[in-house]
Amino acid sequence: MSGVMLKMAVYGLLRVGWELAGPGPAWWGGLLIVLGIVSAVLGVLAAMAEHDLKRLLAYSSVENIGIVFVGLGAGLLLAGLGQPAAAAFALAAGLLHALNHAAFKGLLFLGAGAVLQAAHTRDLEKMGGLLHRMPWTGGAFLVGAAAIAGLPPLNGFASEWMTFQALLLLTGQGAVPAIGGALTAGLLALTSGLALFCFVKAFGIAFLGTGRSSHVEDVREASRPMLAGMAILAVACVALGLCSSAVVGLFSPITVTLVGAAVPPSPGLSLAAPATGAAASSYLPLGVAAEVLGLAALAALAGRLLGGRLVVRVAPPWVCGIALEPRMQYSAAALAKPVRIIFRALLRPYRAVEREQSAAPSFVVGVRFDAGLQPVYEHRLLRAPVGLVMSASRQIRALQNGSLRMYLAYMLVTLVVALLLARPGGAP
Amino acid sequence: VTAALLVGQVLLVVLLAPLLQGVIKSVKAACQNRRGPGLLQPSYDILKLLRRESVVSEHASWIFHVAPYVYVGAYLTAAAMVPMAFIHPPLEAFGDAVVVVGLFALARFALALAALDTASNFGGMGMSRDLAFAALVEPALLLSLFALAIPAGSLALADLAEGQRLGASLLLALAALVIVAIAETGRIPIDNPDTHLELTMAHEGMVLEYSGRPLGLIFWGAQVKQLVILALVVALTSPGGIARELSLGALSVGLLAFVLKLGLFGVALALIESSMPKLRVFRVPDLLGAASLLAVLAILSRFVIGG
Repeated sequence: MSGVMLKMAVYGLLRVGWELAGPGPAWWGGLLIVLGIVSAVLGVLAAMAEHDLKRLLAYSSVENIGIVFVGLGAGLLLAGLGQPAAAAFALAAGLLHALNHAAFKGLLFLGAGAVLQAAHTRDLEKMGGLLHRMPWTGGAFLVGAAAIAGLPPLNGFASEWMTFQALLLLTGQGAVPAIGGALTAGLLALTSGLALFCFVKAFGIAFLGTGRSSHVEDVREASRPMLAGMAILAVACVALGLCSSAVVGLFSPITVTLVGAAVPPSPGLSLAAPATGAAASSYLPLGVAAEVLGLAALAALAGRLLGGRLVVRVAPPWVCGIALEPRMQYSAAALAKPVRIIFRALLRPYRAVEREQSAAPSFVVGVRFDAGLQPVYEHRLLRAPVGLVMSASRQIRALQNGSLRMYLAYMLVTLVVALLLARPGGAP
Repeated sequence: VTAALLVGQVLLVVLLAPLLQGVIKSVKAACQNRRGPGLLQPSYDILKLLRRESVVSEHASWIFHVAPYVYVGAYLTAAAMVPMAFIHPPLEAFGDAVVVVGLFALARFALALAALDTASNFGGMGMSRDLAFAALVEPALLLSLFALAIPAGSLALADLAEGQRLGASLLLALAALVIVAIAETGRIPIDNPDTHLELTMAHEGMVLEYSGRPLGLIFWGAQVKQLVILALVVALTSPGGIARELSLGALSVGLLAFVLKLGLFGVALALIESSMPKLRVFRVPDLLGAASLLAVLAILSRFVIGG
C-alpha cells in the first residue's frame, strides 16, 4: 500500500501542479524543496523514536517522500531558472527515489507482516534473535534495511546520490539557490545518517541478539509464498541499484513532457551527473560492488595467509562476570536515547516515574513509569490544520445524507458546471 | 596502468595505515613524557591478532562473522577512490566524494549490526553513541564538501582537489574537516581510542566482543579509515606537490609529498588529542554542530566575500 498509495501524491503533484498549471515560477520549486526536506528530517526523527515496527516504517515513508519532493523541487527550480537538462536530471532523481521507495518499503512491510504473523507483536522491545528462527525473512529484511539506509551499491543510495548531484547543480545558479541547495544537502546528509541509525535499530533489535520476551519462543519461518514475495522485491532492490543508469533512461519521456529535455545519457552502466563546469562526477554501482567484494575477499585471504586456519570458539558473551539475561540487552528505547536527547527541542521527550511506598521511604512496593514524546511539530504545527480539516470534513458530511434524490441533484449540478466550464470560449 | 595504480595505492594504504597509527601513538607518548612502543608496534599487534583464535558470542549469527570483512572491504574501496600521490585516484570512474561517504556508511552499518548481534549490552551502548555522532558528522562532512565543490561545480575528488584557492572559505572548510576527521577517527575530544570504559566509549564499545583474527581485521580497517580520512583532508585542502601527470618523477614527488603531509596531519591530530580533555558524551553534539556551522560559513563566504 505504501508502495503505491503514497506515490499518488507525487503523481498528482506532477500532473496538476506541472502539466495543468504549467511549470510555475521558480519559487514553487524552492517551496517544494523546503517542504520536502522538513518532512524528511521530521519523518526520520519520528521513526527513530518509534518502537512499533509498522509505525516506524510508516514514519520512514514520510522521510522518503520528503526526499522525493526535494528532487522534484530541485527540478522545478532548475526548470524555472532555464536549465532544462539539469531539471530533467533532478526530476529523474526524484522519480527514481519514488520507484526505489516502492521496492524497499514494500519489502520491509512484507517483512514486518511476516514478523507480526510469526511473533504476534509489532513491538520491537518484545522481539530479538529472530534471524535464527526466520533466516530468510531476516535476510530479505536486511536487504531492505540496507537499501533504505542509503548504502551503496543498493538502490536507495543511487537515488540519494542523484539527489545530492541535483542539489549541487543548484549551486551554479546564483547565490540564493546555491546556499539553499547546499543547506538542503546538509540536512539530507543528516537525514540519511539518522535513517541508517533507524534501520540498524529496526533490524538489529528485531532480528539480532536473543529473544526479549515469550513472543519469540515458538516463532517459525514465514510460508513459501510470503518468502517468494520478499525475494522478488529484494532482488528488485539489488537490480535497481546495480542497473540504475538504465532505469533512469526510462524516465526520459516523462521529463520531455514536463521540462522539454531528456535525462542526460549516462555512459555504460554508470550514473553521471550533467557537467556544469570542467568535469562531472559519476557513480558506477557495479564497480563499487565488485570492488568491495573483491577487497573483502582479499582481506580474508590475507588473514588466512598471515594467520593460518581460523579457530572459532563459541562462548557466552561477557557481561561483567554474571550470566546474561535477555532483558540486559540494549533496548530500542535505549538505542534511540542519544537521538531523543540531541533533538529534545523538537521531540520533547517526557518521563514520569511514580513510586508507591509502604511506610518508610526505602520500601518501594510498586513503580509506575510512563515515558513518551510530545513532538513540538505535532502540537504547534499540525494541530491547527488538522483541526481545520476535521471540522471542514464534518461540515461536508452534511452533503452525504443518504437521500438518492439529493445525490441525483448533485450529479446534475456537477454536469451543468462541467458543461459550462467546457463551453468553447467559456471560463478559463 | 590503472590496474597498476590500483594495486599500488591499495598496497600503500594497507602498509602505511598501521605506520601512521604508530606515528600518532609515538607523538602522544612523547607528549606524556614516556618512551612508548616503536613505530611498528601497531603492525605487530595486527599480525599477532591475525594468528589468535576468535571467541564468538553464543547468540551471534552469520552477521557477526561477515561484518569485519565488509568493514575492511568498504574502507579499502574508499581508499582507492581518494587522490593520494596522483591527482586522479585509480577508481575515479567508480564514484565521487558522495560515494566515499556512502562507503563509510556501509562499513559503519556492518559493524553496528555486529555490535547488536552478540546480545551483550556494551555493544549496543557503544553503537548507539557511535551512530548518533555519525549522524551529526555526516552533515558537517557533506556541507564542507559542498563548500569546496562550488567553484568546480563537481563532487569528483580530482576536481575538488584541483579547484581550491587559498581563501576564507577554504580555511573555514578545513576547520570543519578537522573536526570531522577527529570524530571519524574516534579521537579525543569526541571519543577515546584507548579505553573500553563504559562512561566514555563509543567506537571501542562497538567492537568489544571481537577477538582474535576478526579483531585484527577491524583494527586494520579502522587504521585504513583513519588514513583515508586524513588523505581526504590532505587532498581537498593542501594538494601541493601531488602528481598531475603519469611520469615516474612526478609520481615519486607526489608520493613523498603525500607521506609528508599525511605525517604532519597525523602529528597535528596527536597534538590535539594530547592537549584536550575528552568532552562529556552529550557535549559532543555541540562540537559537531559547530563543525556544521563552520562549513555553512564556508559556503556563505563563497558568495559574500567571494572566496
